Amino acid sequence: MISIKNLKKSYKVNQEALPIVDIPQLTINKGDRIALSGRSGSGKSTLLHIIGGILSPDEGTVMINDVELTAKKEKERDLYRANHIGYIFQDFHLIPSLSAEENIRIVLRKKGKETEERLKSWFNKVGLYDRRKHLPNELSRGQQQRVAIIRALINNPSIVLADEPTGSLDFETAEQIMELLLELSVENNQTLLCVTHDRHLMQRFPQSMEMEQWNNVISQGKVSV
Amino acid sequence: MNLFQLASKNIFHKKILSLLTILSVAIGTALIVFILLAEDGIESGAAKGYGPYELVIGAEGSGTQLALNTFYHIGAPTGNILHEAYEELLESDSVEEAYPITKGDNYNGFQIVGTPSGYLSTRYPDAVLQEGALYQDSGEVVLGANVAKEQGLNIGDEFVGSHGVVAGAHHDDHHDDHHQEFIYEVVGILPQLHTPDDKAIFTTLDYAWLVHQDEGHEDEGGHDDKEITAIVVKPKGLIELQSLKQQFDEMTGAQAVYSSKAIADVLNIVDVGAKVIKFITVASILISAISIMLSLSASAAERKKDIGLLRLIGKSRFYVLGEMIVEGQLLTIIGVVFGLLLGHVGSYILSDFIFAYAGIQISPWTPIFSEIYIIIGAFLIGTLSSILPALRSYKVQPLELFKS
Repeated sequence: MISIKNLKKSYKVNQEALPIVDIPQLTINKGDRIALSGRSGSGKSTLLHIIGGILSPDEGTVMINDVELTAKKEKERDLYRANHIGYIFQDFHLIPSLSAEENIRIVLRKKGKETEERLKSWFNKVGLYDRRKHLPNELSRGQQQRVAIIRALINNPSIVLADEPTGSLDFETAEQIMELLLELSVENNQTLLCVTHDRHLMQRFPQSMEMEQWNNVISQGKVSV
Repeated sequence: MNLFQLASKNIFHKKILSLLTILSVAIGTALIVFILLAEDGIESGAAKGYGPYELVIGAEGSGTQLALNTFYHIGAPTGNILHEAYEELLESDSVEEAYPITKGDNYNGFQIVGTPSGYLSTRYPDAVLQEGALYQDSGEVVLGANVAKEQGLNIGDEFVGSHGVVAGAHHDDHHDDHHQEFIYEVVGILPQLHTPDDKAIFTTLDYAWLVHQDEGHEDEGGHDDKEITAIVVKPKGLIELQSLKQQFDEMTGAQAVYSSKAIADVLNIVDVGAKVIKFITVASILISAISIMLSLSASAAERKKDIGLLRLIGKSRFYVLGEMIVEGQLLTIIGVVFGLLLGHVGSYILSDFIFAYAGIQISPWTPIFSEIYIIIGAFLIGTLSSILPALRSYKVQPLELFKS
């Protein structure tokens, strides 16, 4: 469970503080799958970065499973993120010098037969077993995002944060990727918080949140198109 | 995936940049290896250059020139002295062995040395001829190993010498440069001695007198004043060495030179040249270090997002720092190994040319102790050069990944 209280974050623009996030209270339960929307600059990504422990808020607390993430030091947050949070990005961010498989191996924390089996089953699950030795530039954009999804989920994190994961994909591929992401998060009972602008894709999520610029989460519920 | 694997993958991924960096390190290393081998060659050549002949006597002039010409077969003699001086020397109790030397001709640049064959037996008591026998009669020659190899001469072959101690040298007597009427015959080939004698041709002392008999001077009494260019002396001891030097220094038109001092003077001159080369080498090492730094800096800038990702997936700052340093060290080690190989192979390829051109006998496959210092030094330079770009990576935050 993610519990947010009095969370505030602002950026300095021309010596003036520009408020980006202001959330008095927000609770996200384990297994929730939420589409997060809002206009550019409304603070969606900032919220994701604070939950992911990349950014520190100016005020307030973020508790994840009874652990106060915002009270942790940078090194502890790095470790926490590695163990509990999976990240998926719009631009995939695969390391270009490593093959698809090596891009996954770099996040693996265990070695052994069981891990190898898991690696194999994940590649089979996303339909890329035959292409696991390929470098990222030898894969299509959709295939690269599938590899990025394995990287985010293979350590079985309790929370998955996806920042516009289909933003650079064509419609058909975007549908497939979102379906895969939702299916896998259900399968692994993971909390999924996904930033997306695509109202059609939002419909696939059981829950949605919309953020408004300068303010906070203004609506929480099922989005109607 | 450990640091070594990730660093190797990154090196392999940016092939051209990595290759250029490795090449720059390799060239710097190869230069150092070459200089060390050349220095070793000069030092061992100098040490072996004069053998047991502690004193060299010749015409007045530069002592260094006298030693260089007599022992290293480089340049011209200082002039001639009368053969009588040698006869006088033999009467001295201070001399254990002494041999007269005449020079004046060459064959394709290789100096022809006229001296009794005892010069070779005393100089190289344990050496056994590669082929044939020592010369006995006028016109017979024994070749240094390099002369035989480079000129393709074998036992029984004949050739005609040219006037002068260097190829193409002219004489002002308007005679034909080739002494067509005087033919040399190869009767023996010396083994590889690793001394300047490898590039000399040895024959009887009287060859020059026979070749140049029409140039001989006659005194008022009507007999030839036979001349020689030097006498090499193996004295009985140190005191005898000093007394012999004094005796011949007092003789008009002659000088006696301590071989060791003359060679030390030569080494000092060589040392100045070596310093210049060392300066160039230091410059090339600096260039190598800078190229490692630039390569890694470019890499750090280009991979900022990758580093941000590594930080995001939980890799520590020290992992990122370590990866960059290991990458620099790997590039350096590959460059150094390639450079050591290049240095030795290059020296092997150039050794004959260097010997022919500068008289430096390089043993290209001799492992040099200093190579350990090269490896350690290069490793340290590689590490130091990596630190600055590594620190840039160290400071990269996971948030870098989201910056456009």
